[in-house]
Amino acid sequence: MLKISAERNREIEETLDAIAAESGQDLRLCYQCGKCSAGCPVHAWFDIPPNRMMHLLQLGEFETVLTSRAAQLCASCFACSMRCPKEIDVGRVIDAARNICYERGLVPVDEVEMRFHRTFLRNVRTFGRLDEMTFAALHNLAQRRPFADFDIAPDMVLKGRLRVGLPRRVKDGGEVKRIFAKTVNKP
Amino acid sequence: MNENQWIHKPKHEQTRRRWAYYPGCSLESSARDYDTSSRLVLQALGAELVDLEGWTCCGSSSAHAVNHVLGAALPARNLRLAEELGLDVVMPCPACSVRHKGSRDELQDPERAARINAVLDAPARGTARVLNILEALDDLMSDVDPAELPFTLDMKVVAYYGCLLTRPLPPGVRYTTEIEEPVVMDRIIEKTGATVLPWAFKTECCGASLSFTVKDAVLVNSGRILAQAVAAGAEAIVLGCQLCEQNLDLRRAQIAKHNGQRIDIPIYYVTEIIGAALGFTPEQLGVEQHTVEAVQALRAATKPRVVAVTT
Repeated sequence: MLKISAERNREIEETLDAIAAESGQDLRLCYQCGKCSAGCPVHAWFDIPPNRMMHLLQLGEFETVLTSRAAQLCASCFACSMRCPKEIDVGRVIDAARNICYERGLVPVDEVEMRFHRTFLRNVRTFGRLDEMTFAALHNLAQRRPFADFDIAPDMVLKGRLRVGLPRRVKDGGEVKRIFAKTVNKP
Repeated sequence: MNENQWIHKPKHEQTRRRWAYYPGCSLESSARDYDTSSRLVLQALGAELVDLEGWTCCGSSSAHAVNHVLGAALPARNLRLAEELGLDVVMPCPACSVRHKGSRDELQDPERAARINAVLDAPARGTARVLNILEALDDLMSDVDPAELPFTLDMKVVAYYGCLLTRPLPPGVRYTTEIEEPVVMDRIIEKTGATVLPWAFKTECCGASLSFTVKDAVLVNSGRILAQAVAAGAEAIVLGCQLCEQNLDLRRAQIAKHNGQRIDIPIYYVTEIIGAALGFTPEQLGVEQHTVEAVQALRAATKPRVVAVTT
């Protein structure tokens, strides 16, 4: 039988309060209707559907949610947030979960998405804007799938959908680099 | 609650709109066609566009997934540039517009604004409003009489909004009909004479940038959207997002291979459809950059408006 001691219960309540303060979302409101999962376009690829993520958080199973494949794969389409009858911004909660996972250096069940974000953000930090060409090349290398999407590359080149030339650095006075330095430093 | 509260309608003294224009990273390379038709059509409809000099990336899906303040501060820098010009800013890319709208909402809260401004060189105030492509077109076309347009479109289409053109809403605004059954794009397209068909997949997500990591999710979801459009009787899908365009158009052969079903329906940006009715050729609008044949179909559907002659 599942037992939650008074002390453990207090810990859970405090963490839920902290989540509410940070994200503005009170997870205690969730009554498990399942609308978030029903409308989720990627839940078939999740390990934990969104409604169960909410329930696990209520029960204090924070680590399971923080390191889940689901928290990483969420496409931030916000269908769940728009449909929640208790007006919980589920997408925002999932965002908070992967923020904490990244901050604490936890290892998620599936790292592919975190590698994608790192490659993306390094590119933005370097050039100020995303240079799609170098991003795609470096992302493929990081994934160890150097030839991913080579089937659509010729069409992109022929139709002028790839900017040809060396990446340019935007004249932003270095502000973007400083924004990174003050938030995640080198992603 | 006002149903249309989420649509920011700038109050202009004159009919001529003056907006800052933020293309975003994709519209500079893989979606140059969307940039071309957006600029052409917005200006043809009477907007004056001012390039936002020195704009930088909004952080897209990645910044907010890693760090909330980073995800709000990168857009806030661009909002500050628009504030310096004293202009509202129009953003054709829905991902860019959503990130900037979210950042603007946070800047209205003093505590959150302080956290964002602490990492910027100079503070953003959050006064510049952000318009996505539908809000801009709806504003410009609200007083356009369809009979004034030089061409009509003889085409049955479905309007595909995807996830981010109608959501998320600002804090405290919920349950508008525009979330689940949006009609703003339908209304805009109908002015061209095209028939806009009802269908159930208006706001289904195509899988977005999961094309880089969990490609199956994109190929399955996008394949369903294509199949549903055909089942609804559509001859074309009209949308307003370059990532949706890439998934539904550029990846068509990948979708066909994955799902074992070839679908040839063309994809158009809403700006291309309006542009055709305004008299621009498919070449001028950049339609030839699409993968699935779309130029001939658009040309065939565009007919000069027959003016009724009274004797």
